[in-house]
Parts: sequence; structure tokens; C-alpha cells
Amino acid sequence: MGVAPERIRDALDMPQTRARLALQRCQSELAGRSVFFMPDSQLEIPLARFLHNELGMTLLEVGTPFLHRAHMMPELEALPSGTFLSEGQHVDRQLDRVRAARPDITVCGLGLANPLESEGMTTKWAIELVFTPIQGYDQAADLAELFARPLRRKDKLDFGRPPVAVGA
Amino acid sequence: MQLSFWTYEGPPHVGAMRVATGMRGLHYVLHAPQGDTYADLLFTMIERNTARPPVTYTTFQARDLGADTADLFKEAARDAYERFRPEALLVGASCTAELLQDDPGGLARAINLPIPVVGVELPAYQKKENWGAAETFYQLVRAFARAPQSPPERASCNILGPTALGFRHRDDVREIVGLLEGMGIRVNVVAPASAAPSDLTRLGDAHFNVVLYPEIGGVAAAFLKRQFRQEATKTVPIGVGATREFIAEVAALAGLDASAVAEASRLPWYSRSVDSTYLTGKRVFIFGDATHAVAAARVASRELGFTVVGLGTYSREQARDVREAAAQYGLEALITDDYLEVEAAIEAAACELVLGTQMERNIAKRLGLPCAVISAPVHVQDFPARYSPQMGFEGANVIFDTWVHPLMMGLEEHLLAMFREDREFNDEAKPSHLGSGKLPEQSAAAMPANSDILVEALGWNAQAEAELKKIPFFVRGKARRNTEKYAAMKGIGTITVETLYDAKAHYAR
Repeated sequence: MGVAPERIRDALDMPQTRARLALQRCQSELAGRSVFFMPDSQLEIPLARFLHNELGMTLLEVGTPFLHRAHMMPELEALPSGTFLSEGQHVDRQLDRVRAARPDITVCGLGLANPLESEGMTTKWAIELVFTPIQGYDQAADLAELFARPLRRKDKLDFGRPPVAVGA
Repeated sequence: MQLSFWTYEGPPHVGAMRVATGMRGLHYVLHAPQGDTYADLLFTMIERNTARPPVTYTTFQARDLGADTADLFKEAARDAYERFRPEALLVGASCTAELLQDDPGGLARAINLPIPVVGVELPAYQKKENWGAAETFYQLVRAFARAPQSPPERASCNILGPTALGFRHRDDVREIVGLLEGMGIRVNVVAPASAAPSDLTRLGDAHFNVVLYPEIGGVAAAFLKRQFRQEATKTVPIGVGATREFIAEVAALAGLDASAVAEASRLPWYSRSVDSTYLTGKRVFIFGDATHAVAAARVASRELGFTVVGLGTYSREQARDVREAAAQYGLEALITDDYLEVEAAIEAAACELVLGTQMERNIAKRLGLPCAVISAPVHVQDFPARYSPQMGFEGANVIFDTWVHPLMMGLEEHLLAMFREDREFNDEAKPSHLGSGKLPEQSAAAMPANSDILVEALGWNAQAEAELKKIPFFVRGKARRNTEKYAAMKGIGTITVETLYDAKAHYAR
């Protein structure tokens, strides 16, 4: 469109710097943590790219309901090589893999979130990622926060310990 | 077919899911496309179940339709048996899969599983959730119930009707089991909720059936009466009066003395106590499933002294009962599953309290009316952490609290009038729990309006307006409407203070 590269750089410099700064807080909480995507929102591949490339999370499996390779090519190329992708669902077998992998956080639909939480796992509802504005530089930190909050909450909650029986 | 973005009941396979999810040891293989798996979240999110419903979906996709979907179903049924090892398999199709005409019942029997297979055919385009639950429960009872080895003792019963995702079923069952056991009656089987298929085989070992939710348990109870001559209760114990009648009915069936039962409800005294005087004649609109709507009308009118100004249901199968009940209050029942019709009826009724489902709660919120939920469909809030039954004596306590708390109390009304000019209590101030500040301008829609009166067309002179302002805000709308109606009737062009008091005297008669 005949716009000089310097002009684009100048225009994007401020928002990019601001976004990187805002991401720092969640980076320390999320880097090195593992994530497993159950297929739900159709946003799984770009989200996986963001969590890995910008927050340093480990991708255990990226499941998506429907994969159009041609459309998703640039996104797929941005994923680390060897990422385990799955399309569609045989939900019970996939749950077996979740249970075996014990991810730090599982991104899944509302039908699975509470059952997994009750097994002691941490989840993020995929639907919230659809309803929340998560696009663009200024929402990047909000997006990271959506993944950090369930983990932070888990650390916060404390219901004490059941009393120990006398003589036990 | 009418397209809708909100419905009171789901398709009938959701009813079957409610039965299967409530039970133990039963697995439901549902021929359904990928999208239908959404139904899981009704149970895991709304009811906060810690496990997924025991349902395997075949999740066929568009590309499977050219291939053999029947094979897909057989494979899913085999896998489900291997993985979950249930006592029995329930099989059927969802609305979309019904069109494939794959006959899940026949297919499942063809694979020769070593467990019983029960097929349910639920006509998705004619019937709905409660019908689906009733039919599924009936088919299971028909498949499993066996005649008793010896005649059961007289003081024994089953409890029929509770399912997963039912409005307060969890707590109602606890309350009624406690009541029955307190009377010395043995509770043989509670079903479908908490029962396994093997428990259903023992249904015949009770002398009679307690039907808590006729919408769901009624068909099975009728079958058990034909088959084993088990009588079934007719009274649903919601409210003090109905609970007393229920006890008398049960005692007669069990051959016991009903007078020994301890009555533990505070409702009768709370309702007679002087502070409750203000409840007298409060206009209440009621909508829900047939059982809860009819019961609510009785409690509202006889036990709380309200005036029932609207009564309706979405349960078409039980419409006759609701029509009969409505006639007792001089009303014509509203039978519909279109919430926009219900909303219009609520507005037209100019009521002061709405008792309804979650949908009526949303409508009431929009209209600025107090509301309490009395029936499914349910919301996550309708599964309270605390014990909160609707049935029995404790249920009556819960009802008193939940219906009365949304209203303003009598003394509060007087205090508000007294401190009308006060900085904190003036009628433009927000309720204190919402922080300080002014209320937003009240819209005409927020007031129960009589559409035949045009407020703007009638002139109030300044003194009359000032006098109107002295009337507490919560009755001001009514005073304004009555005065204007009176003025229109008498052909008065400008409303004066005299007109205001003439109208007051006229309507006081």
C-alpha cells in the first residue's frame, strides 16, 4: 500500500511495548506451565501459538473441532515443531490422555470443566475466550490473565485439613 | 415449527438424560451429532455435577452421513459397554439423529451385549423434555420391575419422580424420606434419582408409590398400579395444607395413625403474625410446570393471603389440571411455551410479585417486579449450597422466606413514608445495599401500567401533583392510575386535589 516500513514500525512501537510490559506479570506465572486443549472454541491453534511463543508455556496437545490446514497454515507454521494436534473428538480417549498428562491447565468446554476440576485439575472455559475481547495489543494481557487466574485461584483456596482421628 | 431462542423445556432426549444422569449403573448411548454434546453442560455447570452425565454420543459429522451411521452407533455402544461396564444400557436418538431412522434399539440388541438394553423412541418434533423423562422412566420400569416374591408389608413405599436437574429434587427427597420414615414407613426404592437398574427390579416390594413429580413419575406409577396393584399418592406435599393432606393420604395407604406426626413448619404462625398483614391481597402472578404452579397458587392464596391474578403452565400434558385450578381463582389459565406471551400476561396483570421459572425471573427483573423461582427450568442459583427443599414442612419454611423476602415489609412501608423527605430515605434514593445516590428515572414500563390509560393526555394541576408526591412511591403509581381512570370515567379534564381524593374514596368502596 506504499507505506514506508519505518512509519509502520513507529506506529506499532508504542502499543507493542505497552503490550509486552503488560504481559510481564502473567509471564512469570505461566512460563514453563503445561497446557492441554480440548476441542471447543475453534480458537485453539492461535491461542496455543500465543501461550507458547509469548508466555513460554508447554503445549501437550492442541485439539480443535475442525482443522482447515490451508486456512490455518500460517498459524500452524508458528507452532513449535512436533506439537501434538488432534481434530474432532473421541472425548473419552482424549480425556484418558488428559488424565495421563496431568497438565497444569486444561482448556475445555463447559461440559468437561467441572468434572476435571473435581478430579483436581485446573481448567479454563473455552467459551470465555470467545466472549471476552482478546484481540489486539491492548487485550493481550487480559488474555494471559484469563489463563493465570484459575491457577492463582487454586493457590489461594485453603479449606484447612480434616481433623485427624484420635489415636490414628 | 416455531423457532425460539429460549424454551421452557428441552427436546425429549434431554428428559432421558435427566433420568440416566440421576440413576446409577445405567449408561445412555445417544445417536447424536457433535453439536448435541452441549447437553452435558446442563448437568456439569447448572447442577455443578462433579462427573459427566453417563452419556456416550455417537457424534456423527456431515461426512459420516454418506457412510454407515448404523455401524458408528454399534461401535459407540460396544465402546461404551467396555469402558463404563454399566448394569444396563439405554439407547436412543436425539432430534437430528431421529431423521436417520437407524433404529438404535434394534442395533444395540444386534450386537449381543451381555447386559440388558432398553431402547426409547422419543418423538423429538412432537414432545418435550418432561414427556421424554416420563417415557424413559416408564420404559425402564417396564423392563426391570418384577413381581414381589411375597406381599410387601403395608407400611412400605417407593418414591417416584426425582431426576437430575430437577428443581430442588435433591432436597425434596431428603425431606420426604425423613417425613415417611418418621411415620414408620419403609422407603423401598427412590427412583429414578439414586436408583440402579437392579433397584428397579425391587419396585414391586413396596405396598404403594409416592409420586412427587407427576410430570415425570406419573406414567410409571400408572403402570405399576396396573401391574402390581400399587396405589399411588395424588397429593404433592408443597405447602402446609398439602403436606397435611399428603400425610393423611399416606397414613391411610400405610394403615397408620396420621395424628402422631410432628408438625414442624413456622409458616402458619409467621403468616398469622401481625407483620404479615401487609401480605394481604398482594397481587401475584404464577407460572411454572403444572405441579409447582398449582401448588404455588394454593400456598399463595390460602397460606399467605395473596390474590392470585395469573396462573399458567408450559406443561401441555397437564394443562387440564392447571385450567381447573385457575378456575378456582376466577382466572383463565395461560397454557403456553412462548415466554413472550407470558411476559405480556405479566405486564397486563399489574401484579406485585411474580412466582415463576428462571425465565419469569428475567422478565420480572426487566419490569422491576419482585420475583421468586418456584419451578424448573432451573439456573445455577436454583441449586443452593444449603438445604432448601420445597416440599414438606421445611419446604413450607423455605417458601415463606423466599416468597416474602423480595417484597417490602409493612413496617418498612410506614418508615419510608415517615422519612420521605430524609436525605437517606427519600424516594429517589437507591436502596442502601446498592450504595448511595439517586435512582435512575423510573420508566413507564417499570410501573405496572394499564394500557388503556394515556397518562400524558390527562392534566394534573400543580397542587394535585404536589399532593400525589406525598403518597409513598410504591403506591403512587396505583394512585395515579386510579385517579386518571376515575377522571376519564367522570369526564374531568384537569385533575385537582379534589379529584385525587374523590377517586380515593371511589376506589375505597
